Amino acid sequence: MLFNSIDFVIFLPLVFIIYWVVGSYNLRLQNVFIILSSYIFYGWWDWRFLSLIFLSTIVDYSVGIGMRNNSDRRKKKFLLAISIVVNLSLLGFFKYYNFFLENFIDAFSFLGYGLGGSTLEIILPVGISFYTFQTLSYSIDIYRGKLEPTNDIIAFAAFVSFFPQLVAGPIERAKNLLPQITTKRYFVIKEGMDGIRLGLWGFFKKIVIADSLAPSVNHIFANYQELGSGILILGAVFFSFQIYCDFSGYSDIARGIAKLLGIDLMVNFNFPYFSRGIAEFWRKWHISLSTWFRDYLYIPLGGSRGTTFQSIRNVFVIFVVSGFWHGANWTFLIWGTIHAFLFVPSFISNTNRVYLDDLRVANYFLPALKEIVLIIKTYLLVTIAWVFFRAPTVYEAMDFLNCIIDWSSQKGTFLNPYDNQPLFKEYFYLIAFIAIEYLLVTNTISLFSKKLVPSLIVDATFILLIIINSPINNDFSFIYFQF
Amino acid sequence: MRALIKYLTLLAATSFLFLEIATRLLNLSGHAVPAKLITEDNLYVPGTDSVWIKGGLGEIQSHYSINQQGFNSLIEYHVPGMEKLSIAIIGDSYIEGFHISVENSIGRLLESRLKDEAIVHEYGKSSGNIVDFGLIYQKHIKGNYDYCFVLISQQDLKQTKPGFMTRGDLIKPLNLQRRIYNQLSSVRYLNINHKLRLKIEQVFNEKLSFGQTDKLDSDSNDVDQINTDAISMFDSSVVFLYEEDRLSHEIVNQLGRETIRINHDHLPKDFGFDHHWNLNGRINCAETILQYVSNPTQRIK
Repeated sequence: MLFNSIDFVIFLPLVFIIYWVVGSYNLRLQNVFIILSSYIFYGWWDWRFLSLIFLSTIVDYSVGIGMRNNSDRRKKKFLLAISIVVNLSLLGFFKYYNFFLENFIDAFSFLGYGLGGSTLEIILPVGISFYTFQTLSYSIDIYRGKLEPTNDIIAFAAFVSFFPQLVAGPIERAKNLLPQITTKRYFVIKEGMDGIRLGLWGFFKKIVIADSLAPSVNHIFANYQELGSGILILGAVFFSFQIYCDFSGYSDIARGIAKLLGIDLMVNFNFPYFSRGIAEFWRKWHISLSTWFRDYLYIPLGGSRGTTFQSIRNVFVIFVVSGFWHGANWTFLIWGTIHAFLFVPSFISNTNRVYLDDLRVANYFLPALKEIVLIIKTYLLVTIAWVFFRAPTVYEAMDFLNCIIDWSSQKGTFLNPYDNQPLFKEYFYLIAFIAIEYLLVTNTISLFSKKLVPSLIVDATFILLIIINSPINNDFSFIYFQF
Repeated sequence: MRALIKYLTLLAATSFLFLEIATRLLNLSGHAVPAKLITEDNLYVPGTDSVWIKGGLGEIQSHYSINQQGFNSLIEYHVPGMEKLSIAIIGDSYIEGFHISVENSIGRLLESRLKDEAIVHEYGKSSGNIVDFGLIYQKHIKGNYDYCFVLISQQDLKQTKPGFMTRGDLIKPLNLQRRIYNQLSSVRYLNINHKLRLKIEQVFNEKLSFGQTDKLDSDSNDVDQINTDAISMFDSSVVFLYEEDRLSHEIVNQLGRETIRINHDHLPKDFGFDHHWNLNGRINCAETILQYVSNPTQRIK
């Protein structure tokens, strides 16, 4: 079920009412209801894949119990290996089987060996990368002694399947989410109001910004060879905001709904496009995944404790794996590698932890000039890398960038890819959005208000903009569902 | 919880007010075209002349005009004389043409391309199917025109009951509920532009039916379901028009009638929701017919 569908508009109020009515009697029943509603939510796409969530739940729950009952380190390691193998096998089969097979066959045919084998018609289960990582972190944390396994299988199943963040994160840690599920929840009006605002802000980002930009982005990337440099730059800029608003919009909606259900999910995005360096960007973009890789891959590999070479190797490993996590395509690997190259200079010069503070207004409405330059530079580098993320193949990404550099061709109108329709709406919304984000990141305004009338006006304005910009026939899916 | 319910009630009222103001100020909402019984057929009220508005931001705003026969057309449909080539086109909303101004309907586009040496009557109505088309043919067209073209689609061909012909009882009385509906721009906007009622119905009819979908939809390639009785209502001289994505080759071959495919040479500007119902779509249809009329021996199969 998509958040931005009429189905969900009907589903959510029903869930909200039943959830709190049931919760006033019995916590266990409330958690059973979380599982039930989450399974309906997920099964709305394809009920067959519920078996994968169920399998992942049973395996990691059993592994947790097994590790608690065994003090022997080797047995614990064996149990952890079961969790890792099962979860990564699910991920590997559904997400990477065809990719590896195709590349294996290609590699052998390049060497002159014709190999048989055909790819399978595999449907990628929505959100598999998210919930497998979530359950994996549970088992790893227990193995490391950082978490006590739960006895309550209902609570654990609710933790794995919690529908607001099930299919596109934030990838929650058991340490944060599980205790909230195992304790009685009370409805707090402030949290509920904040949840509504956060959800509406997320819908605004998704429907008004991301979905408005999507047709132009698709058009530009599909016809890039026919279009001029200005339009291609516009396509890359539009995509950078499309993916940001699409993904962070989903996270905000998820957090908003969770707040309505009395649960706090982690912040997943923290105004990444106002970062003053790549390191800061990665502290603010998809935070739940970045910290996951930091805690469960980078640090076990040695982190920055070894030699400079080993540290750089570890940086490359997490960026490349992070790219590959997004999808079985060379474009994502290249995207991750580019970010590794962008990150390493600050890592070597030990400046990767310079900008830990918030962006501040220095002169009138603007930050210091040096900071503005750094923000623009970081944004441009990130946007160039996005071209690889968006293009279907590495060749097309390279060609796209090459066409940008080729100023000799004067194809198309300067900043409009269409010859028969204006782009006013897209520009207007985008500029307004950047202005709001800037005011938010500099704490000039706050997304939340305690006063009734301003709250009503802001929420009603969001609702109005969401309605009039909603697609008529098809609801646009979220980009990160494919990962 | 009580405070939340109070807030949500206030928010719903404020949002409704905002939407009402926005749809009025920005002219985002049109009225449904009023229907009328015309000799037991559920057609439109003759003489209605207004603007058809579609899209979330009113992307389509087109002029429509209902003639005395109840169809969207600038001209009246009298029995054509012998002095000009006469062409009749029957079909659904594509022929009805509310999504473009009536001045640019397929008929007018075709007449201008034929240098005004032809007269074209469009018998188009949304909700129409092959039974309606057969009844229209029998009632208005048979023996009166030089050419008759009928636009067909897979779904239309399988229907066994008319959608509007002889269905006079479909007209809704103007009760209080309908009067309020007509006065509320925001509600009309949600219902007409965003198809809200239709979408809600779909959730309950399709998603919650647990696989028990309409047999016609789930098995749309079955040539046995074609309503051959309705097709036999047309003389052999009638030419059937179709769009490739709305009718399978299998059915085209099974029909045993003269068929021409509409060439979509001009890509429609569809705003993401108006598939082929725009000026380019109409030009494509007019030029396909023009090509046939100009040289029927070189028609496109």
